[in-house]
Order: sequence, then C-alpha cells, then structure tokens
Amino acid sequence: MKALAGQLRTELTLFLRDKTIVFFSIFFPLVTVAFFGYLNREGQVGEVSYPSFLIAGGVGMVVASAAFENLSTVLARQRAAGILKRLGGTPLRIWTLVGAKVLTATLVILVQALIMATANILLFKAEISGSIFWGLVALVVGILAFTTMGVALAGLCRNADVASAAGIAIALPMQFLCGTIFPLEEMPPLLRHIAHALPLTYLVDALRGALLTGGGPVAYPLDWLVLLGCLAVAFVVAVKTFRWE
Amino acid sequence: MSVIQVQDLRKYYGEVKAVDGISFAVREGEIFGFLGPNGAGKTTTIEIIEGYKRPDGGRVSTLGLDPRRDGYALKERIGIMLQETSLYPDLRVGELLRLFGSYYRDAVDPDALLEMIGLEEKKRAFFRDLSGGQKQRVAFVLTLINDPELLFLDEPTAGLDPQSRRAIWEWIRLAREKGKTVFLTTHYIEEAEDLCDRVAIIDRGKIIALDTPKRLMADLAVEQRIEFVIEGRLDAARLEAIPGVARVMDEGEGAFTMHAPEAQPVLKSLITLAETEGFTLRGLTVEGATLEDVFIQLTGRRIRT
Repeated sequence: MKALAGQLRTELTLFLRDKTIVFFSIFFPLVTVAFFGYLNREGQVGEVSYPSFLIAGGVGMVVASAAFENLSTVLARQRAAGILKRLGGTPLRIWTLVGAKVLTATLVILVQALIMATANILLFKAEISGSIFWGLVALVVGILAFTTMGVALAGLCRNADVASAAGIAIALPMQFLCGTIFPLEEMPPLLRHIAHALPLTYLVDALRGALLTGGGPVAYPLDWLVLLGCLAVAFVVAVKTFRWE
Repeated sequence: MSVIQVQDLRKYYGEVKAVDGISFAVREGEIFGFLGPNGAGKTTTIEIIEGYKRPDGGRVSTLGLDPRRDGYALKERIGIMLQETSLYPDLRVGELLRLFGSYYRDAVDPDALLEMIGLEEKKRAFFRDLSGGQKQRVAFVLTLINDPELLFLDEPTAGLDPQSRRAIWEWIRLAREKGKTVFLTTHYIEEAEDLCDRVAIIDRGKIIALDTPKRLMADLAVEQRIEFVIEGRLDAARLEAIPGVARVMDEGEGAFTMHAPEAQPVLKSLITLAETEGFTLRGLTVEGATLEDVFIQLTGRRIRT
C-alpha cells in the first residue's frame, strides 16, 4: 500500500506538471462539447436531444485518448528512457506501477467526464435521464479495459515512437467512428461495420444506455461482455509483454 | 562468508559469448571490483547477479537467494546503481528519494542521505536541472535508501571529474565501514587500485585474474613502465632488441610503451639508440606497474582502447 500510495502521488504529480497534457485534457472535452454541441444544439437523436446523446460519446473519446495516446506512450517512453529499468531494481511490483497509472488515468477521466457533462447540461440543456450509478460503473469497467489495452499496446510496441504512432492510429478512428459524435444509424454501412469491430463502440453504447435509459449489464449484455472480454484478453497480453527495459 | 556466489556463469547473445564461464565469490564486507574494457561482459554479469537478466548456464546465489526466483525478497536487501542514470526528470530530488523510500518496507531518512552527498539545498530542484555529476550522486544515494546489505554499482564514477569521483569513493568506503558489501564495475585503473579490496580482471567474458590489487601488481612488481613519443619512424623490433626489455607496445603516431624489470640500463640504451638513429625522445616517463600493466601483460591490449 505504501508503494501504491507513493507511486500514485508520483503519477499525479507528473501528470499535473505536464502542462501540455493538462491543457488538452481540459481543452479537448470543452471544445468537443462547444463545437458539436453548439452545431446540433437543436438536433434530435431518436427520442433524445443531441447534447444529451453527446455526453457518452465525448466521454468515450476521452477514454480512448487517455489509454492509447497518454498512458501507452508515456509507459513506452519511460521504458525507453531507462526509468522503468531502475524501478525494476526495487521491490516495486509491476501491478503497483500499472495500478497507479490506471488510477491516475481514472481520476483524470472522471474529471473530464464531469466537465463534459456539466458543460453540456449548462450550455445546451442536456439531460441525464437514466442512471448515474450504472453510468459510472460502465465508465470504470471501460477505463479498466481501455487502460489495460494501452499497457498491452506499450508492451507490444518495440519502442516509444512506434507506440506513439500506433496509439494515435488506434485512438483517432475510434474517436470519430464509434457512435461518439455521429449516431451509428446515420453512418454508411461500411463505416458502421468498422465501428462494430471497434471496442469503443461498446463502451459508448453501454455508457449512453446507462445515462439515458438507466440500463446496466442486464439491459446491454453484449456491450458489457465485449468490454469484459477486451479486458481479459488485454490483461493476458499486458502481463505477457510487460518489460522493465 | 560469501555474499555473492557465481559458478560457471554463461550468457550468449547469438554467437557472442558475453559471459563465458565465470566463477567467483564476493565476501561479506568487501569492496569487490570488476575491471575490464567496455564490452568485456561486466554489465551483463552484474545484471544477472541483480536478477535483471537470465543466465544461459551456471549458478548464481546472491545473499543466499536465487536472483530470478526470489527477486522481490532480494531487491528488498540490495541497492542498485545502473550504468545509465535514468530517473523521472520532472520529479524534485526530495520527491525521488521519498518515492524510492516508499518501495521498501523500511527506508532511511532522505534528509540525512542528501546531507551526506552535499545536496541538501537541491532538495527542491528538478532532477532534470541537475548537473551530470549531481545526477550521478543522486543515483548513488538512492542505492542507500533501504539501508541495503549489498550495493551494486555499475561504473559509478564514469564520466565524472576527479573531485566528484573521489567524493563517491569516500561514500563507498563509508558504506563498507557500516558493514555493507559493495560489488562494482569499472574501467578506471585507479578506481580498482585505490578503492577495491579485491579485483577481478575481466576480458571477453572471462575472468583472467582475481586477487587484491597489491598482489596482482606484485606479480609485475619488478617491472617498470617506460613511455615516450618520438618524432620520425622507428621499428618496434629495434626497441625489443634492447637488452632487459620485457615487452614493447607500439601505440601509434610515434608513441611507445616498454616494460622492463630495470629502467636504468634500458634508458641508457634507449638514449644511445636515439642519438645514433637521430630521433628525439619526447614526454619520456618512467613509472611503476599499475593494474593496466597487469591487463596488458595478460591480454596484450590496453583496457581503454
């Protein structure tokens, strides 16, 4: 516990000291809300207003970015710099290190989600008519699945440059295709098929379902199964590929 | 009592035998040094003993533990300084010590450690803003944060100015006085000679000599080293022909090193040779043997090439 507390304090400190990441972590959700929310402030998606629809999508975008752009790149970079190798010379467990990184990402994402939801509600009268509880549970499961995938990606990539490029290549299409900003039903069939092959689609769907209708795993079994399946596979890959150097 | 026991250790990278059948033991409370040129297998060996690398053959016991199987238990009791100093650049010095302290069951007071290395006033400085020497001092002092029984220092003073080097030597000696065992690697002759209680000379993955520095040099004790530079060309065979010369090394660009049991008659012949051949001797020095000469005698090469 002492090591986890120490590492968590370090990860948070390092995050807050990286002014670029802090700036974009706040700027990105705000711009997403302001831009797309404003453009479609009168829009409807099915029976809900577009701003209400956008909350879950925006949070999904943030999760993909945190896992594949920040976490995996930083991990690969620290490994390349030899920082992890030195940590490997101490009794620090791999899962204490990774756990601290996942907890930090979780805290940051929760703050971003709060910003996103608040802005949408205050500016465009979005509504959360469903269950905040199931929304949070879905979000936490999604964060675990995606951050574990981020750790696995860092392990699979030979160096930091490859990890960074791969992270963007994975995160960017997901952020736009997976029913985040545009409803899947309004997308061309080809893109819709691609979206169904990407895990973020299921997180956004589970999250949106919870926030708008209040449904949990029983209401959206496919979404939850896919997320838990991704988590299980990513966990195995992450454990098998983790390297201190 | 042996703190480290290594038996017939082997590590191959494809065709390259990085470590080729090494055996030795490190005794409790001594400063044990691995001396050898870059690429000799020093780092590979130390990293196997620390538990970073898996050997391809042989047996290693560190503090009675298997470094791979009992890694966490071992790391609780050792301190490691890697060849490259890589720590979170955006943490402050005090934060780094506190963080590393949190990894262990018991940790030493960070302030006392900072005071020892004279960096109390840098406690709030970012690691990235420190000078190279200061970074190395922090990397060194982090090895002491868990009050370990055994220190591993991979080239602890590489690239440091003589003053910083001597300071680190003092702290290493202080660690020994407190009963800690130190295993270090170096390619600095003086470091091996002045600091180490025992030295293993390692070359091409093999230990080619192991003893106290004094005894290693005693084998050459009668030898003197004569170094000079000449203007013009000279065949090394002419120097080898001088009576009483044991070895001649042509260092290139007119520089030569000769070893001889007695310097005086050799110098006399050398000066006569210079006068008859019409070349000028420059930078003529005569010195007693060093561990470098031991290495030259054993391998025919210099440690730093």
